Amino acid sequence: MKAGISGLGMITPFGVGVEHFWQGLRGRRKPQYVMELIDLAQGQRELGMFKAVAEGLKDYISPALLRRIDPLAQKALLCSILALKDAGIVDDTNKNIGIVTGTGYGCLNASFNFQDSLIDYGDSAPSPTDFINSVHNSICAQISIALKITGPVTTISSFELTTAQVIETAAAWLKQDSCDYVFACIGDENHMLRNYATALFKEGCAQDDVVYEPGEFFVSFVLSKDDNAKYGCIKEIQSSGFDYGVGCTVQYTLEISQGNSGSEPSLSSELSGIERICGYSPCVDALYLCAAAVIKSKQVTLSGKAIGRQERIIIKRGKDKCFQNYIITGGKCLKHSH
Amino acid sequence: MASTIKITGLGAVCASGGNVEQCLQNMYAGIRNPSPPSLFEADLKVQYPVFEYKGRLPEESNTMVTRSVRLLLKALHEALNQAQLTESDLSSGYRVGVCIGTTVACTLNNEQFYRAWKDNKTPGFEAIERYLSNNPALFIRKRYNLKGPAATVANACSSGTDAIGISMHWLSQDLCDIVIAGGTDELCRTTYLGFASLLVTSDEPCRPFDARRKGLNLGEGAGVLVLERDSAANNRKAKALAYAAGYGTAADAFHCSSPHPDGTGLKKAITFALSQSTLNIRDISFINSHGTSTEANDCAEGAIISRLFSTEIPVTSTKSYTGHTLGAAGALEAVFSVKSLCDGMIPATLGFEHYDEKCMLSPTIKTTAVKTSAALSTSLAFGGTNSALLLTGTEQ
Repeated sequence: MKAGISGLGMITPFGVGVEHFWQGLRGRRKPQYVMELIDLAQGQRELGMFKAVAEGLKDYISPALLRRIDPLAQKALLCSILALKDAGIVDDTNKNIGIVTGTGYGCLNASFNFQDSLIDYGDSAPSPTDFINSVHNSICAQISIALKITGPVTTISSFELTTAQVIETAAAWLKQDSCDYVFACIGDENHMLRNYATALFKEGCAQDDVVYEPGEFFVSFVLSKDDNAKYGCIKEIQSSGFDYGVGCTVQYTLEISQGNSGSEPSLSSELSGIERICGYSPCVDALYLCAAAVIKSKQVTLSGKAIGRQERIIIKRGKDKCFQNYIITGGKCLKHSH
Repeated sequence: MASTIKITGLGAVCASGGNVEQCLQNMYAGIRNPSPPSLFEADLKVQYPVFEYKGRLPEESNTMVTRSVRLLLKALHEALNQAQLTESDLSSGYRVGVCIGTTVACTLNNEQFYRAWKDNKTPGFEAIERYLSNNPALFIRKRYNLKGPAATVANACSSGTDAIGISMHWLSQDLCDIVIAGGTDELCRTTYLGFASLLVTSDEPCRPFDARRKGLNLGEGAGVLVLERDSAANNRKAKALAYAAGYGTAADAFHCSSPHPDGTGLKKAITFALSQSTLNIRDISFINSHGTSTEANDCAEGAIISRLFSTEIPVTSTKSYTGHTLGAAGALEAVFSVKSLCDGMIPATLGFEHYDEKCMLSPTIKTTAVKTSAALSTSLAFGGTNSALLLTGTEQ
């Protein structure tokens, strides 16, 4: 498997764009974070959620289109526009582009808006628009319609295995020449019920000590067959196991080929704790991949690892030690985010 | 790409029957059983008929297992038996992947839980746990301790076809030896009311491609195919029932809930599927169409079928027996297509009586003998997704 990351578009709790995420990773920008009091049967509990605000949507998307589409799809569309721009293929209408979207929970707000319309107005008067927007692949559909993409499209929803399978599918399409580029668009959104569910989980079901607060984000990777892609090549993904409440093990290998000396890494360290500064989503591997991809230092070989609910990326590299400045330490970032 | 992908096992459960043979025998006999929904109540002036599976599902000691997963397990057991695959084969002998399409099973739409929470009550965690522990592909991966890739495809009404297509990629790119591919969906009140709100459901049994159609009927079920790399099937001395020969998918980029009226995305999907196979369009002996019985779908599909194929090609819509089973539809229709390749016949399209000039298509009106060379199964979905699957018989 091989898929070059030629472009990135991101909306995270640090804001819109790769640069804001990068500043956030380095502790130079605060994430959007809201603390809530949640009523449980056992009493009130305090729990926060990390919010991704899609500022600047109107700079790229017409108000008429924005009115019609769901907030999660809006984020996905903005990310895809930014990723196209980043990849330098904005005006190339001849390219055959595919879209694979991935989401752990789907369009929560549209789903619950539909439920609200049923509860508030009765069985005979629910909102058809919310029903259409509640379908998982509406995200993919809105990107396809807005950007006139007529290549292959699909949507995957496999909780902690979502990101891995989105990228595998995109890589398969590239390998069999289904398309020149694939958008791998991955993310989840917040809803108050998600916070309530997290509080319930923390209270009674968690199998480990750490339960991360919910976070929302959306990421679009432009994947290509380019071995020398701007952000490196995803060479391999390995996954094993899955159990509800425990997660699974997924390992990504991202190779940056520029000037790779091929020598054995002399230093290794861990990049961990993105959940602490962006919140948790089943698709959080995508943020780890982004973190690895935007480390623009030269001559590195990166390999990422996500293990259960304590996902981390292990970064191995050779000569240049300045990358240590970029290591995210859980304690520091936790303090920073609160 | 896929001429060496063998189909060695089939499983199906839907309103037509509890196994593949029973489903097809009922279809060949022209029997269908739509009824008002009994699994839930809806406060509507019209009780739109649905196609429920009314037989027994596998007993599960864990009461958290959803109906969608139990439907899937029933179809899976049948497919594994036919493929002569044991649990030991699945967990240790081969690299086995699982790819399942669904719509309902990946959506948190527990109305009772939501109503309680909205009413400022404090509902317990069970509904969330049920949702998190019943993702179909992940459930099967855990149950059988599978070592290959696992994906739940949530691509609306083409999910089942796309799950098979993704499985074909996995096999052709040597990511695994065997894939459990298919789709599953249970009838659900939220979905029922959602389709009612779109004004596309019929108050009578559906009539695909008929000029007097009034819309679709929802259904439930699961379809499973065991797909194998040639090497794995040969090693096991497994008999091929048919081959998965090509797959294509393409977007219309037109509308969120309606297909492009000219069927442009569907044409692209069929063309790509053919390019991935060694077939040409004249090799296709019949089409199991998406055939939902909505005007938008029937006309888009009719436009392309009438343009690409000879007027003689037999076209059926098995949704006239199963209803629209959403995420399971493409998988069930692939299963029925393989069985029809084996049997040399396809069922009538029930309800079709009056030719619709807008559709330009006359589907089968009786059980029809077909050549057993190749079948095309098509799926169109919300979001403007179009998918095409090519299957070839063993006597080709």
